[in-house]
Amino acid sequence: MSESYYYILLCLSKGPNHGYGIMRMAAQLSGGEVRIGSGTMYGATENMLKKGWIRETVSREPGEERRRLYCITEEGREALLGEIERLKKMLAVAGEVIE
Amino acid sequence: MSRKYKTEFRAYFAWDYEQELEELDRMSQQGWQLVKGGCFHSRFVKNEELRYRYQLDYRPDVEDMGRYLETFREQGWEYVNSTYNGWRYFRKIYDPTLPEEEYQIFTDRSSLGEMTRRLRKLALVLMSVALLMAAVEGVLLVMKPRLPQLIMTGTLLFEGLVIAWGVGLMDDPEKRRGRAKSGYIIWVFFLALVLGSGSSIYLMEQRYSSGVMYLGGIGDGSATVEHWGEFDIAYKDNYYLSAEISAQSPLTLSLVREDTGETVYTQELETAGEELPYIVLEDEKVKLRRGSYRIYLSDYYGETLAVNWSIE
Repeated sequence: MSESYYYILLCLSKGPNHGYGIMRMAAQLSGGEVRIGSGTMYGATENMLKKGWIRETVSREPGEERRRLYCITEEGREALLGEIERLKKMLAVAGEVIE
Repeated sequence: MSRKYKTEFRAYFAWDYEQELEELDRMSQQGWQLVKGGCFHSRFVKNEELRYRYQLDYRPDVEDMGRYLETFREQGWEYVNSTYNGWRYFRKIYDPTLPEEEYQIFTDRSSLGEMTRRLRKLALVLMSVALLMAAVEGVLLVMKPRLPQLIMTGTLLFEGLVIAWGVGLMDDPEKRRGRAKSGYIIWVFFLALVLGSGSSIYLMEQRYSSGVMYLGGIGDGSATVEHWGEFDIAYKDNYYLSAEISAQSPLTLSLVREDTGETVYTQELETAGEELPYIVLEDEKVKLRRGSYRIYLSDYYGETLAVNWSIE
């Protein structure tokens, strides 16, 4: 899982969002480290839509009607949790070795 | 106020797209703004009040164009146009106070890698096709040396090697960095493709002549008979003579130049035996200059004869 996939899933786990919102939130969560450009965003969402990790819905918020939104699926949540477990293990191993 | 346009004939190889982007940025700085980008020519309009930065995405298959364009639009990218082969041009108004990452559409290595993999795959397919065809043409060339075959083999080999060189550049970002655009090589590449394959096909079509000769019921077969067919040769090269002869006696076959009467090829032929009175000549190599020729059959004393001949 690339960093972009990881951050997109992480952002969507807080609720549905549009591409721009995900980009802003990822930058905020990572303290400005992660910026997801449009080409990267399209490729990542395209692949994750195909994998069934995310799906598209339409916004019903006043002022944002019919805007395209993404939301995470059950499979997507599992993939994200799996990745978090993997990262935790990697960190734990590093902790053991470095100590 | 009339607007000033200009068209630039500038081609770029897939592995030169970074150079093409730098070129577009430079044009914008000089006040020429892209109207329509292309792999061979691009159109610009004069506007010195704006400055854009450009990005290229290579994506031949976009399933959901609305979603694709929206993903770019929401980050301030204006869609300019797409080329027939899947390059998509985007631009954003340049603001020097914004960080450089604002002008990149690919922000991680894996998504940029996906795009270069798509390009690499295409280049590898084209390279394999060109080199495979060059190999086939090369084998034919060794079997039957002739000019059009030589041109075709050379052309395909050149095309294949240029693409192979490009694949090498794609695989090595270090080599690519700071490189000047391939410039005229791309024009040589396309010119060679058109002229090479075109002239080869044209010359190949000029070479073929064939004819049929019959001789029947000339009596007791005691007299020697002469008979001929005619053909023209358009350019000096190796030619290959084939003939299928149904004959009752041995005979002599020769090729004679019409203007000088010079015999350029002669062959005494035996029948293959009584049961199968056939003589087959297959791809006899003859060097011929431009001119008109006659194919002579002589010293024949049988009663009937049928000849099917061809030269290529």
